[in-house]
Amino acid sequence: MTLGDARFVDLYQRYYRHVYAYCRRRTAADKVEDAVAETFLVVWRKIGEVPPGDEALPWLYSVAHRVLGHQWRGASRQSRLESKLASVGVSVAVSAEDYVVVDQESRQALDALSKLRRSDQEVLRLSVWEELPHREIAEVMGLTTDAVKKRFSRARKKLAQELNRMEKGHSKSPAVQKGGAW
Amino acid sequence: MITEDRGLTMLAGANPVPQLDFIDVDIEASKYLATLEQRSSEMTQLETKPAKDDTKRRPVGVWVAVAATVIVILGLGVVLINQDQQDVALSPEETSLATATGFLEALWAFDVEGVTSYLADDAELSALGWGGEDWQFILRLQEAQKYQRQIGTCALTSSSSVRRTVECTYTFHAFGSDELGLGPYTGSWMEVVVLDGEVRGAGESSHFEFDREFSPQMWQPFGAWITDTYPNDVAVMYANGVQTTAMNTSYSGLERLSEESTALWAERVTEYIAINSD
Repeated sequence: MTLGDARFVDLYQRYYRHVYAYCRRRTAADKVEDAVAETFLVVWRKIGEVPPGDEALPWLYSVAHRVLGHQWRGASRQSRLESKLASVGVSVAVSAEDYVVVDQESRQALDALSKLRRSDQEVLRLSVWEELPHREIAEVMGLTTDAVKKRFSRARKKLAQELNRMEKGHSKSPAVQKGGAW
Repeated sequence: MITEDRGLTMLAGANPVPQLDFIDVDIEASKYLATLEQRSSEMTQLETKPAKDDTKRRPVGVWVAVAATVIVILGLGVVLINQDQQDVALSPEETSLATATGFLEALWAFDVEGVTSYLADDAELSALGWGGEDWQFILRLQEAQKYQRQIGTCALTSSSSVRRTVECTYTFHAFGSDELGLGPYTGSWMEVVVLDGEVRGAGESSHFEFDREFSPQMWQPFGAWITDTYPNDVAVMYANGVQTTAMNTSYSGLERLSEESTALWAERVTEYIAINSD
């Protein structure tokens, strides 16, 4: 086993669950395995570029972020095709497994989150769900730490505004997390 | 009333995978690695395996002809190959520099499509005063104000495995300063953050040289002229009245962003140049 192979095995064993959870939090159940496999394929190909120590995890997240981005863009293209098909009378099946149904309060939070800009959503998720500090969020998203601070501040304010708006009954959209809505 | 902290708590509670232990996965890294390596090896063989049976049947004359052809092609192609290698062999740092300069050239040519082609989906341009779609408005406004920027030197100021920051100095003309025999103005630079070949962020800065020259020579006289000649236009063209300085701004705080404002800026700047260049 080469040094690179040994490093890969170490990263895989140490962070597989982290990457899996990252992907599962952002995409549908049936797309997670592919996203995780693709992420580790990139890791294997670029093993020499993986930073040492704790910096490896934000790097892995940044790869997964990009993989999911491709997946999401692919889904968008598919969605446009589906819209076209629907307009000519071809129905498109949506699996119930595409959705994660959660309790009422969580539904509200996810619904409010979905109203934010995509990049702001990601800042909040990385902070609240992955529990990354701003510096590491900046690494994942390719932003400056100052930009992350500003976005985080803006996003948490906007999240609260959306939640309050929903409390007042202005929002009645369905509370679901759909695959690809990252 | 839901506070910001309460909102974050609710979001934390909505985490679809609250604990990693819940993930029931079979972590067999060695097996995964072996599969990857086997596939890679198979792909390499597919790409490089020679057709042995065919070579045995080929007469020597054919090999001589092939060799001669290859030599001629190589001889003719040396220059092209060398040129191509410059593109193929770009280091990540050079690629980031090329991306950043390409982005800035498109930006300063007011090429919306070109700029968009460099931007990541979630690019952060707020440091330019460009939030959301506003950057397109800003481009149109700066075109109306006859901004012309000339790139100076670019250098990598920070580099990590995932992100590279490129800083480019530039000089500029604006409000027709070139036609009035003033400028170009120095002391400004742009920072561009590149990740995976896409522009993820950009910010603009300037220091005292900018304020020392551009503001007294162009910004303030133009503002004074507008105030005197077209006082009713001030509210259309400026967001908060004519400012005395252009320093430390990201533009969006000074000019009003609207179609009407942009059209008026184009008209007034043209008129200002015509009057003052006589």
